[in-house]
Amino acid sequence: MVKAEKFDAIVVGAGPAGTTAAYVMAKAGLDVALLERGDYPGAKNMYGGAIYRWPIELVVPDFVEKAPVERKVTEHRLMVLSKRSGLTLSFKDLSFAQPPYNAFTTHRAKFDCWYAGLAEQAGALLATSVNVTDLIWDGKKVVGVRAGSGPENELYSDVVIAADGANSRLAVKSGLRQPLNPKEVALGIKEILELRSETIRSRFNLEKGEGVAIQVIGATHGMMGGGFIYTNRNSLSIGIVVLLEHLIRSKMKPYDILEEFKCHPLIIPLIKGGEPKEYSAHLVPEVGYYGVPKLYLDGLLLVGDAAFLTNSVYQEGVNMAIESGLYASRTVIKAKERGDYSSKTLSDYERTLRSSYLMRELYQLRDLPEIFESNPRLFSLYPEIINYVMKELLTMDGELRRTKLKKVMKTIREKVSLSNLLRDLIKARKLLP
Amino acid sequence: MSIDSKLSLNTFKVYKKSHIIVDKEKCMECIDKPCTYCCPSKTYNWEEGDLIVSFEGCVECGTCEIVCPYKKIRLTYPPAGHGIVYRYG
Repeated sequence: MVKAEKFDAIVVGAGPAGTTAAYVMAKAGLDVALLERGDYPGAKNMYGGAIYRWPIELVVPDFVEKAPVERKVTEHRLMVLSKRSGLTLSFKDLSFAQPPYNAFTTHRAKFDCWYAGLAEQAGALLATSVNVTDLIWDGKKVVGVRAGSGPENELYSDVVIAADGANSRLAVKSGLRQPLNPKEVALGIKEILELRSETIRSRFNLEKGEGVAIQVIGATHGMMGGGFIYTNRNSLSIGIVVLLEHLIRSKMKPYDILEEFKCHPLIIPLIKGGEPKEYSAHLVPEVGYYGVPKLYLDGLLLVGDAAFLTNSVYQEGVNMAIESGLYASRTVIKAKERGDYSSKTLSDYERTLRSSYLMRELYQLRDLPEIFESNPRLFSLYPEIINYVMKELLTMDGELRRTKLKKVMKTIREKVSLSNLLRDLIKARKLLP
Repeated sequence: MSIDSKLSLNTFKVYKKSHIIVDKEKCMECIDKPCTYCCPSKTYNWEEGDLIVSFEGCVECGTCEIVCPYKKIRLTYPPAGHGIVYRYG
């Protein structure tokens, strides 16, 4: 009998987490298979819109010259909307427009393809249109994956890295993760609107190559979540994210919320003339620090969304995916040197990750999922109040500002009790570094 | 812009058989039927006492599995090479 080919590592999912792991391992000389369900890497993936430089630079130092970057993010805006008005905060730094840059927008179908190409060049075997359905076990140890029925669809390896995304089948099958419940996951939907590059530049006050990332509060009917707009070279990414539990309760359709957002009087001028090109949807795990499961077993590691590594406050998904893929690959390289892929060696990954930058960031925000979920004021009442106050103070109508201020304070007290307001302010402090 | 026009923008390689398995035993007693409004592709429609599953426009996000209060929806992925193909993503 011919013995089936055995890899050092099989990576399931050619998104940012899986590709990072495959690339680094292949570069170190390991035999790596990178398996992707889509026709090409990125074919099944979507995200909001921007990736930070720092994590990917740890893996590919000169990526800016090579990666399919759309625009360098030089400006961040926060819009707080009520029905017919909005307060916008903007921060722009000219150094963000200079090397080494800070963040950039990119389309995942292009970026993931390019990135997986690097792993392939480094020697990883990239196989697309491969639908991995299960793990293969030898007792309590994971020894491979199954991509269909029959022995010809079995692949073996010393270690499997599950990078199969928010819906990770492998993580659930391994027993490391429970299926998600509506409290701990949000739905993101997005449209690509094509617009001429010059129109985007003049409309958003951008120099050549510069881009803006916009987060919007107050566009989700009080549901935990928000809206977003990112500028690409010839298009805008516009979308909304809402917690599933709140969506269920609201009985609203996500695409209706997106349409309403697109029809907001302050959003219309930004997207006017944009020709819709694509509509996409994806789940975002929002479990927070305490929800991150154990990330290893004998012969198995979880990375990226599959490991629930997201930071919903600062929209870190891809960044955490890359960082986790990097640490997983380093652990596997060490395991190969030692010839020991047991959970004892693989636990190094979780230890390193938990002391990493992005995990420590997540730890700072550890109480937030609970705060957000249980606070209806945050996503509708406060945006309304903020807009009301601004309007009152900026409207000249013969009434003294001092009188107005009194009126404003009275209205606020009617809408939210002092104890709730204080409680929320104390909680809001946790948002700050 | 209707959801149908949104979905018509996308590239789908539709497979002949549905990749969504629903055990409809509980649908009748399910009051809210969250799958019918939470699904971003409007895959699930309640018509004349039956849950109609239009799997062709499914973007494989997994929302349906999670919002079904009885956990009776199973989204297996379309066979290799099929389903949604994002060109932008």
